[in-house]
Amino acid sequence: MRHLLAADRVRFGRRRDLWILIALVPVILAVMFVADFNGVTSPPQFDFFMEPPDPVAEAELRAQMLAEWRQQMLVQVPAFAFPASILKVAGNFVPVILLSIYLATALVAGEFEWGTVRTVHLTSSRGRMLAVRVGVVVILIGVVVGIGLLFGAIIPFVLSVEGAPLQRYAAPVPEFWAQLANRLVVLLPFIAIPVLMAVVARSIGAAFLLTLLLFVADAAVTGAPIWSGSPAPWVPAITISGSVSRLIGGDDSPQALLASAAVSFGALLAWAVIPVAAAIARFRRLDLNE
Amino acid sequence: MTLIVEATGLRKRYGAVAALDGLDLSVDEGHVVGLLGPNGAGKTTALRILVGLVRADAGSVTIAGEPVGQGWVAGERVGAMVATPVFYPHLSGAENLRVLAAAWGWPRARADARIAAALGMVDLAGVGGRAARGYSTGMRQRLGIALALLADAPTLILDEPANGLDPAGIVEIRDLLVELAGGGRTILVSSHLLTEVEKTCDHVTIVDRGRIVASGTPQGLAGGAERIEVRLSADDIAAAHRALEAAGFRVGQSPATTELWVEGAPDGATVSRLLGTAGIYPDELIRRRDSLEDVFLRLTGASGELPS
Repeated sequence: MRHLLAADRVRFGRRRDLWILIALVPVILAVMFVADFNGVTSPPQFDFFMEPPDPVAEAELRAQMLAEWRQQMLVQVPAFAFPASILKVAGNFVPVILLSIYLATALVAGEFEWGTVRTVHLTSSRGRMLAVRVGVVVILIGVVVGIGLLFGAIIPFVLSVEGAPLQRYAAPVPEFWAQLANRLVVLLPFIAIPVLMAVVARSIGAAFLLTLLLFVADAAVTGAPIWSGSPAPWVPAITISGSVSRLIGGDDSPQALLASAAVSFGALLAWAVIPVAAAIARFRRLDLNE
Repeated sequence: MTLIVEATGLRKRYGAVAALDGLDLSVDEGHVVGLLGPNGAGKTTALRILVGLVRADAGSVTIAGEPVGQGWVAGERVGAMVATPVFYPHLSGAENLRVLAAAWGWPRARADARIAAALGMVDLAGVGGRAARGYSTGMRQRLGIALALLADAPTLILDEPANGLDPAGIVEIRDLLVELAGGGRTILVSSHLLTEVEKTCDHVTIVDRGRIVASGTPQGLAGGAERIEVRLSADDIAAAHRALEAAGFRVGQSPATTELWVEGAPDGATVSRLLGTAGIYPDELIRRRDSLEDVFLRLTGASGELPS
């Protein structure tokens, strides 16, 4: 395994496109965090006029709206202070998901597209090779998430709210580690399913497209209005999108009534393990005519 | 003699097409065996099965006594170049070799030494640092051979190693194969360059439509059928045919020519005397032994697309 990891380091060490993306995504996460924070803490403009004009009533109304906004802002601001800021960054997972899909398809389907899968085949057992490749993607995504979370831990200390340090609003986060685990496990199916699609499609573009189609189909299944009266009303809580919604949204999510967070957590783990096992089984049997 | 490569009853279909139809193949230790066949004969499919890239529908393969099946890895024991060589385009030639060395867990010094040696053997030492995406077809072919040579494996399986090379490159690769064979390696090489096979291989197997149609030494295959070709005037053809057949020889006529070929005659003088007795005087009389190309064309029915 160690040798295969070393070989992958040679393989991908010079892929500048990969490294640029890997460096870019944590920056995007940091920018999204700051943009969200600015969106919450910047006072809105109340552009309205009374007819007939009444400056006193207008001023009173503006002050009242500002007070309401400020009250709302003060409720939201603690989510941006450390340590809650880490969960905030981990919740903005769309760029990481897109990167996961890209890396998983590019690093697996790329071998078929270039034909280098033949060379890979000569060096090691196929199952071990694919398992290591999945591990490489997980490590790369881990690095991206790690840097992103580091930004999430540092940035709150340089931000301020109405002139006061943001950290003044910091509050303890109940079940912090469980919430963080929930947010991280969400990423696993977005690595595993593209890997399976890459082995099935043997082309980066086709694998990417198949993956997106599968996630759209999954969302359609989750949202289909057929489950409530059916013998399996819990289905929307174990689909990928349903499980993600359950874990990220917590008890406020629509799936909270259907299953516990532990069930959705287990479902997401299954959505990660089963596709990888299927990909390895298929890869081991494939005729490599590339 | 130890059998290094042994394939028995290999069958492989791609849809309605039978790529291999009960192919048997064996390579003895220390021999250089040429696998000849026209395009689509099943050579590459056979080699893919031998190195485990493709699974046969039926039949079995062993390499150095180990059954080649699911999970079998050529590793450092078999150097292989099957089908068009492919590489990571963003890596240099040397780095493409280093990927294999790293996967095999070689220490840095060993990897450096073997990479330099392999690149040197195929005359790429000066360009090993250049990105593989910029290599010409011939350079890519050489890099593919370097990849097969990297592990200094006792067994080599090479698919059309001279493809895309210029005449000087073909001679270099031929010399390299002879040198490698001299070192006691077992080599199975597929090719459609008959003269190269004739010069490098000590055994030839001719494949057509997924089956072996002939097998033996190049000399044995080529020299198997000696004949005498007789060129005559058109008026004498029929009479000559009768006279030679009456003498008990096997006689045939090349299509659309005034040539007869005679098999079974001890020498040209006998044929000439026989025809003279019948009052027939040939324009030309040639004693001819089949070349490997003649045998190949006759057995495979291939037409003029073979290189000389």
